[in-house]
Amino acid sequence: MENRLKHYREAQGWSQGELARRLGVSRQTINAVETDKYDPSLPLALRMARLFGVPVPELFIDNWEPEA
Amino acid sequence: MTEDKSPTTPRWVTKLLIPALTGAVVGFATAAGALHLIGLEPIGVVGKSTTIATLVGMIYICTGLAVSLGTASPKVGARFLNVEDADELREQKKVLTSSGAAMVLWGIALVGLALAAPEGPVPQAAALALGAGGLVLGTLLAIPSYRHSDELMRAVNLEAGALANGLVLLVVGSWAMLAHLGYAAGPAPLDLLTLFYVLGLLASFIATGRRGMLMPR
Repeated sequence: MENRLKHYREAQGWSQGELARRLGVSRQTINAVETDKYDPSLPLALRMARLFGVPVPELFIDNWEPEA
Repeated sequence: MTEDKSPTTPRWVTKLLIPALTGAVVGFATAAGALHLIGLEPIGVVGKSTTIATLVGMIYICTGLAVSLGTASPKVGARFLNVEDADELREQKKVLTSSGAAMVLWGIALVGLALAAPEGPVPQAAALALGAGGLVLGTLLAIPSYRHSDELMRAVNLEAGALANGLVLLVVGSWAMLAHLGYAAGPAPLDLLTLFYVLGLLASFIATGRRGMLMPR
């Protein structure tokens, strides 16, 4: 799933380590999410969105459309 | 992300290739040296099963020691472990310390069992103590490592476990099938144990690789 985590992190001027510290996860987790190797759990996605003050769909982009 | 500060040596060489080659050479040399010192030649007096099991056990021991020592001395560890910097090792100290120790204990268990009498020099009772003790203590140490892991590492652990199960079914199952039908000799107990170790390690590499965690950092 595409995401804009790196964009929002860099906009804050935070390193991966700084974001990891604020979210209580490892740097590897941040790196894996930013490189689309790992989709975070719902609680972590919610915390990320809350930290950046944006809705989850603004941070994580899912192009799925419901069938008519 | 940290950029490569070395103008000549690519980061994957210093972070992956050199440690992997060093581990392989040191592991093999240590295993061969240990067998030689106790009067057993690799692939000679002892069978292939013993040699391979000893080598695999030494790989676990060397890997565990590298992780443990690297975590104990983060500045040094950051040079050969695949982390961004020494601080990352400090942040992961709880996880890495116990998982490194667990790998050492699991390796000791396999080496102890591989060198058991009558083929090896370790009395059977002592080998049993090493084998069972190492497996149980290593597993007990792996529990806090899992508990201190964040969600990515837990996901990787679960995926590695599922992959290991599939690999064991494929490899050991195929071997057993061929043996059952008389096309091949059945696996010796030590071969089975070694296979569990190898396939577990292989599954871990696949699971971590799929999450991009083997990429040089």
